[in-house]
Amino acid sequence: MPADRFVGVCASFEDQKLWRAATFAAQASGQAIEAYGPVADEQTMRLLRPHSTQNPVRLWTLLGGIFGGTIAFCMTIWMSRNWPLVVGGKPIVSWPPFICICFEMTVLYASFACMGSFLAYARLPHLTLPAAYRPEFAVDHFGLFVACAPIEAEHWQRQLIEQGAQWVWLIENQPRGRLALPTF
Amino acid sequence: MDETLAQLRATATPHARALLWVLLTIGVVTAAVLSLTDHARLWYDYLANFLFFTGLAQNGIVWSAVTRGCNARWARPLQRIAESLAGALPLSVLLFIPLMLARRTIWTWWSAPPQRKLPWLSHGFLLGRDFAIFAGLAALSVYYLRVSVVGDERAQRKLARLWVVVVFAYCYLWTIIGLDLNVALYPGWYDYIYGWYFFIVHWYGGLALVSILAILWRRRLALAHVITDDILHDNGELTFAFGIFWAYLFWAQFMVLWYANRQDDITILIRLSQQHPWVTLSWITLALGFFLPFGFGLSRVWKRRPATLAYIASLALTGLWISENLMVDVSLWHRPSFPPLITSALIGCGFCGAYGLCYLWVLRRVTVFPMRDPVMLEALVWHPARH
Amino acid sequence: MPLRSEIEPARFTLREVSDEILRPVEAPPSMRFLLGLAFSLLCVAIGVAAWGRQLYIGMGVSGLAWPVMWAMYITCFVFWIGIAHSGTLISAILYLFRAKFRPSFSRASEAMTIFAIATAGLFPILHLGRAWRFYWVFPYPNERRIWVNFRSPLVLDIFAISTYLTVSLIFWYLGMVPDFAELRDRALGWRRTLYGVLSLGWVGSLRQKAPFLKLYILLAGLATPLVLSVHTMVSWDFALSLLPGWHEEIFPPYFVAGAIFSGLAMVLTLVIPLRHYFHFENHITMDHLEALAKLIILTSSIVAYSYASEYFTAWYSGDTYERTAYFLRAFGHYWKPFWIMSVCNVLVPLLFFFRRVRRSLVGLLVVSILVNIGMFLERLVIIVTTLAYSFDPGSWGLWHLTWVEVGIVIGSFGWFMTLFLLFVQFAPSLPIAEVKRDVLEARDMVETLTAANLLPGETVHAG
Repeated sequence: MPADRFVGVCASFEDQKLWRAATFAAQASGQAIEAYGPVADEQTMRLLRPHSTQNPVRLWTLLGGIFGGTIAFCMTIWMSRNWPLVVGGKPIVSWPPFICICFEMTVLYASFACMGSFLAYARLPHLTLPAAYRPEFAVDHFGLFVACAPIEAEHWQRQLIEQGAQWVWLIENQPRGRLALPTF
Repeated sequence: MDETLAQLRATATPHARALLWVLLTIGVVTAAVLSLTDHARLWYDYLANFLFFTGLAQNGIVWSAVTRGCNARWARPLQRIAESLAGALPLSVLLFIPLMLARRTIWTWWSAPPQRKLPWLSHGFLLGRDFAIFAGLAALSVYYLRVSVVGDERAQRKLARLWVVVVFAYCYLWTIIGLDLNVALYPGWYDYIYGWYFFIVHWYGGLALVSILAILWRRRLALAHVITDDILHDNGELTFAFGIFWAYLFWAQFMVLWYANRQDDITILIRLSQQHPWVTLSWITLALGFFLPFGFGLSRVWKRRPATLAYIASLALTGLWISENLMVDVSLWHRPSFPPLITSALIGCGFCGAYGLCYLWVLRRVTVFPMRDPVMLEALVWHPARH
Repeated sequence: MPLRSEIEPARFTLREVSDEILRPVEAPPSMRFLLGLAFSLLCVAIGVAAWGRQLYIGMGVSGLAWPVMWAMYITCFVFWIGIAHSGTLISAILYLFRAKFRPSFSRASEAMTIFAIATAGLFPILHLGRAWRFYWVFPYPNERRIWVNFRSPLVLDIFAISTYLTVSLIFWYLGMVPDFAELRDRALGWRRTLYGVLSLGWVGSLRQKAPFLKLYILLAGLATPLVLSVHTMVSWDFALSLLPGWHEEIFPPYFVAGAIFSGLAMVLTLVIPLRHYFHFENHITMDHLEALAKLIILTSSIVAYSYASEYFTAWYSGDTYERTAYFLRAFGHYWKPFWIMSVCNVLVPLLFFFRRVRRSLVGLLVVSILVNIGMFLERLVIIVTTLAYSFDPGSWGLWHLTWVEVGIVIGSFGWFMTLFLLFVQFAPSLPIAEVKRDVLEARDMVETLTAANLLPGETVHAG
């Protein structure tokens, strides 16, 4: 594999605990890593990324909700005053029903903001799959990609096998724009 | 560790016991003074505090029943701490008797009951039924506590059926109490949802109280490894959720009454929302019972820290206590001045002291953790993944 | 001792889970599926024909006539919105409660929610004489220079239901993205492209999973109050009026509980055949079905409590109109649907107090169908009896069912079933990632409890 296209090594683990231990060890050594798996492992994530990108999703959701609630009140009050129809003897600007609409739009815009921020932080949609990704990572194996220089590849291969990996691949950069899985 | 926990008994500090005796004394003295100076005020405050504290005590058992029925493994370490509140219920039966004697003060229509509501509000049926409800619930709760304390396999099988009986009995019978001791105070008033609202108020208060008791005993007995932050968080979340539900039930009533604006059922709402001093008390109740607990309870961190969780739970309990007073006074207090909540607080001290002493008496005689319950043992070793 | 359903997943491999759940999606449609689809499309055709007749001739061909201007169509609207609620309860509320039996039903019930809302949304349009003007309910600038009446509960409904549909769609779709990724990896040809697009490029990396988990719990938290608010606003269509039998403070939580009740019954009605035909017995166990049955008892009890509260308070009020309305509900012209409703909603679910019934597939299916019948009739009884017997006896009048209404109701069920059948054929009916997480957690649990001597080898028992 050409050295200028080499990006790192990827290991496949069958056992989740071994994978977790290897992931922590790789992170502790200061390498850039990416971990794959078929389940959302909250424990791993919480320990790996204590101040991770997950927090801004909450903030954006809150901001979206505040925005939705605000425009709901603005919309209902302005439209009611613009067409001041007296119905059932209720005031033109009746806050009880307007609160209900405000609630619904708060939830709606909070959901939009939540979804939007998730897609942004997860960098989705993504047209290509990462070179390190393997289909078995969606089924029953756990993957660990460690970015390293070509001269470190052998060291990481040996280390990951010792830590319980079943397979280790050398990963090269993939041309952009292809949706197919990498072949090697 | 299992052996230590199996033998552990909960004893309060001498200061705590002394404090409860002081509170009881304050309550008794206040009652004596009021009985000589303002008879009506005494019974309004007595009724409000009786309902509030008895509701909290009852919900100790209901909390245990509900968490058992839901197979909530996380709740087992708190089970005995909550259940022991049932120790106050036999006393509540006795404390209902003075209310029966003060019937003419509480039910101002006593000498001329509304004809359309007979026989439900007939004298004997009303008093007999309410006394029977308090006595029946107390007996059922004490029985549940006894079976739980026995805790062997046979007891576990009994509890698997008993929890259903407790929950059903609480919901239906506490509905009747709410109708008789809140709605019936004002003879022209009826409300389709008040029973539901009433038992949810006390369930919400019970959840908040269990959080506070868990925090206090965790500190007193150094049990942070058993009553973990996760457990506090879980109960805190339940409290948060039912705070929202309580506010929802209030809103459900408000919208229907506001829209229809019918003479028959708008009177209480107009008093509460537009007339002084009720509107002020209403806003205080909503702020303490819902807005502040909701705002603070949104934070995951705050629900996990004992001090902040206790603060949130205390706000909720204070709001619910004021709402209890509000629902009694709005029907009965017809003087132009602000109803003196200070006397109610002093009477409340008496109830708090009396019920607290009963609670401690029971808790001293049982083990803190139901170690014969296999789910308790699982809860000590197995901690599932959390969101 | 943990429930068998908590530890039994420990014996599966992750690959087995994928293979079992994806087998129905990857296999070509069976003859049974095609026959079912054909039947549901036939029902849709009947509905379209009936609606066509109504559009052509006018609303008079439906049974609607003064004073009963709301009858079958609004009943169906409330019924289908109610069905939708249990999907959100299961997917959102049970997620927050960390209920172990949730993954067995969450995907199918979320799909049920979407399709039920899509079905319910047809009825306000069907109900209009000039259905092509349905968009007037939305507040948009128009040449008539008027706005909608925000004080009307019907407009509150529009906002509530469109929010509910949108949030449920987002929750359902994004929850399926990891599963679409697995399908993408296994598929060939046009399916690979389709699932590749639907999966958005998901690879299950930590960079993606971290915000995903936060998104999921936030959406669950946002969807939870919608369970209360949406059917509350639907109930306000009735409760914010002045009519005896409708003007009741208890309507909001009563309707919500009834909605969840009927929705849970519909989940059982759908999931039991799904489990049988797709051989999901390993992942939808009797323990899981029993848990649903217990939830049905709970919601049935709340509905029974609401009935008792309604009747008692109507009597207690002393109001002539309230008392008469309830008397006629039980003994007036519509006494048959009333008593069927009472038996199906209050008495029939009591059978679930017997363990044998809770753990019998036939028992579960029969009770669930009867509950759905009962809840459908409940909405009909509430709506029609109040309108038929309002304040002044001089204005009393009856409603009678017509073939057009029957055809449209059949069409709505056909529409729902068509969507659901297409869903089970093209998308995984169980959340693969969550089932796998349960497998791994079950293994951890077995290991931990065995080490603590709390799990003797062969003493697993059912719930």
